[in-house]
Amino acid sequence: MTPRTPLRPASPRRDAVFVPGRRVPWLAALCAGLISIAPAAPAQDVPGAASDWRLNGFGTLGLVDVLPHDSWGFRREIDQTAHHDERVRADVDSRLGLQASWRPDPRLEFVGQLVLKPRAREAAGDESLAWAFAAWRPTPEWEIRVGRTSPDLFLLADVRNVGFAYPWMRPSVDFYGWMPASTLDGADISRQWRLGDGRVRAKVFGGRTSVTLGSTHDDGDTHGNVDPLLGATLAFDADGFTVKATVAEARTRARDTAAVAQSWNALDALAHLPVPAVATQAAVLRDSFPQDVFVTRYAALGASWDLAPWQLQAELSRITGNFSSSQAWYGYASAARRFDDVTLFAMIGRARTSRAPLPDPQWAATLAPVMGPALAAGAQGLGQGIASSFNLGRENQGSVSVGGRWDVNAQIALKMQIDVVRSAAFGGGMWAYDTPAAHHASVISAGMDFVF
Amino acid sequence: MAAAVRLLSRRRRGLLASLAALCLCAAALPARADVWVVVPVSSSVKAMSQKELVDLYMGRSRAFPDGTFALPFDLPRDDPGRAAFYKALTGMDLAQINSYWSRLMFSGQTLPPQPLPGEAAMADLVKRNPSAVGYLLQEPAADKGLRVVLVLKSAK
Repeated sequence: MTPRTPLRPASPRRDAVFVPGRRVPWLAALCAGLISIAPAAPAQDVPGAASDWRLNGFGTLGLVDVLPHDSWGFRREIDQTAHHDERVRADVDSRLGLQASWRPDPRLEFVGQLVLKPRAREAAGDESLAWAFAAWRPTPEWEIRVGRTSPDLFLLADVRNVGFAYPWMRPSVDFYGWMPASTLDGADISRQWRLGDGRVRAKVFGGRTSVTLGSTHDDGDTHGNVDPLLGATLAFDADGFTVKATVAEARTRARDTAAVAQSWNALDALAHLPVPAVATQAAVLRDSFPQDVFVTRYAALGASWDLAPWQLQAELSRITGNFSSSQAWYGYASAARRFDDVTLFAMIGRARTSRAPLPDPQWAATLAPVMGPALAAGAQGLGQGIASSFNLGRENQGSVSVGGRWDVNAQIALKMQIDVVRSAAFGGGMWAYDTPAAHHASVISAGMDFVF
Repeated sequence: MAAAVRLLSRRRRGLLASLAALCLCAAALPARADVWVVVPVSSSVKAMSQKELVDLYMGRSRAFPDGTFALPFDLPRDDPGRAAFYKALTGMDLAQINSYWSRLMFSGQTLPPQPLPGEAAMADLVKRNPSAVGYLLQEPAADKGLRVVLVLKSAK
């Protein structure tokens, strides 16, 4: 679909077969090793410390009805399976999470978390393992985590599955919907300092991951390997105010790198033909995706302000990369006000791919005298495939959301939300089965979030 | 004379009973209960500010003001005493506290303070652990091995 996304190569859509769970032995060995050295951790420095085992969970039961009931399919994340909005659906927001934690002393912590939710048909089983890490704190200020964590890219990147943690039915689809990487196998190091009445936190992280994105037009799921994903965050919080800046870079390869390279090489050859009308268009199409490695850079700034009874939050991110279709802006702003057990909220969001839609190549007639009708038709088919893939994956949409949350008790919240989503022509990349036409939809959602 | 004393005595008993009932009623209102924050007498911590305690119980800090590791303990999730503590400490109710902690806990940042079965267990564990900090809804006796480092006034 969207070649802009590094994990979503422009073409071809179907990649090599993923080997399910091939990273699990690495994780298991890592965790086993850390557990084996755990007794050597200086628990004696904290006499009488209580070993702390916990089993907790969270979940959402949600229903979504999208009007009009048409062929487009609403998705909150692009790793969801494609569907048409022809009936009320329960698989958009519903999910269940289980988390086991063990803290033998304040310096050491082991965490495993499983998130069960509808995923792409070809998603590997181990993609449900959201966390599997050991955290070591040599001092109260330092923390080192090793294992499976998540790329700490945005304010809510780590908790977008935990509906109870935020007022809305789901984090802004305009901002978070495109983000495909939710796990990171690697390590991060963080340190915090006091600054006046506040706290500064700095973190660097690195690792690798793989993702499976649901098909959007019955053309097969897309697989990508991200290696490495490197980033850093700097955050400051004081008196309920938090501001966080993030930079990161990801290098992604499609599983079927040969097919991507072949497409790029073919377009590169066309770009060097002595036929200016074709060569110019072919160069534009060639530059919309890289020959092999999709390099994507993220920069984000987010702020939240818990000013009881008001909660304000906004984030803005800029995506760039080594291919023209990578450029995009994402942003949202939200205001919520609490009235005892009820919270009312409003949110606006915007997603926009910077690159204009690519022209639909009509090369067959021009190229036929040069390379023969069969090759000319093939060249046009390749160009049209690339252009269509980019244009249908392009994002140019905005949404306005209003809703409410009722905390039934300390562990259950009921929510309702209405989103009005407008996608411009060639701007429905967040949706499944989108078309080049502009689209207008109302998303009506109701659900129950719980923690235990 | 004797009859007058007996009458006065009955009136005094009635007055005392009424006062006792009033006190019981007041004690039964958790929103009006103060909270005593305690550390063991062996702790190097002599006093804490409310902000320092907020940082510890909201996962913003892992250390006492002197830089040593802190082990905050909590009451069970639905305990009325826990609700009174967090209301007095942060002004938030338990749903807000749970929502806040679900964000930290399920994002792998840190675990919330370890819950203990009740105030007796809290007092016992804090007393035996130099790194511990806990809270009680009743003022601890002076000889219990606990030091009060902060008294939180009940939320209005």
